[in-house]
Amino acid sequence: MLQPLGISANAEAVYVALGPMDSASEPVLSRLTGLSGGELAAALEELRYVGLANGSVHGNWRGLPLLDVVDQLKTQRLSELERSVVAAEALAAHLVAKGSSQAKGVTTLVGRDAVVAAHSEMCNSARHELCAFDKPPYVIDRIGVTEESLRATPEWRAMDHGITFRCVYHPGFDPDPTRDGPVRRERRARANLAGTDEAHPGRRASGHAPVDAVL
Amino acid sequence: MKLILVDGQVAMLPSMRSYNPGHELRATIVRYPLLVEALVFLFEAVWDSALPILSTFTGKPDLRRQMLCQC
Repeated sequence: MLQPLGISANAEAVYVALGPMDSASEPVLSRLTGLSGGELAAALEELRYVGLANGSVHGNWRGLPLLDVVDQLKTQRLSELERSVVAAEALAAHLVAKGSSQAKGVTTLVGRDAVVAAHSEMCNSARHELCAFDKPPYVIDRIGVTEESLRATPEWRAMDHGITFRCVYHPGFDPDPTRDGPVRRERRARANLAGTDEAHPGRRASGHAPVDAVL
Repeated sequence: MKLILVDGQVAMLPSMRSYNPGHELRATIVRYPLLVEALVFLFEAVWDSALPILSTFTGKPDLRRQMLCQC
């Protein structure tokens, strides 16, 4: 009866012995079940743990109705779940509080999609100027880069709307003319887009697209 | 991109370490005025010490570039 619920055979035997009696002492139970003192103590503790029996101060034990015990276990489990929900809500509130403090000034983005989206949104929101540090374009010759593909970048779209873009490239500039093809191509395209003359780059001039590099 | 500043009011700083293979890309957006102001100051300081890239070089030698090339 109880063993399918995970109760041991000894505990089930004790529970069956307790059934017809209001209460019974341990010697009586030992005699009825044939269990030794240690076995009986373990079985009674098992029954007490799951709520199927309880002991009185006089050392007598009585069994409790299985259905009542199950209902009690359900109630206990629901209470545990409710406590878990309360704990989860408290944790969520704590995280939200942390999040609101981030919103005041510093926010961390995780994941390429989030970073790319934020970068694009920032460039779109520019009204006057974008300033940037970046690696020199020639560090990795981006195969297949064309003016058309560059125009799709957020910085270029901003420049399309008249936003000034100033970029300082990372130290390590290599004057090797055989490796500055992308720089020339990008610079020329940007200059054309911004309407500047490469012979007169006009650093910092409004509407121009100056690009600087640090040596 | 190592830093981008928009209108001197908001900045984005990607985590350089997160660019490494196997790392998830991370970036920090800074709107806190004092921090953004410091980043603007940093950018302007570096910009002022920067030199035009070679592709814009028009034939007139830049003294700072010459000095750096000699070092």
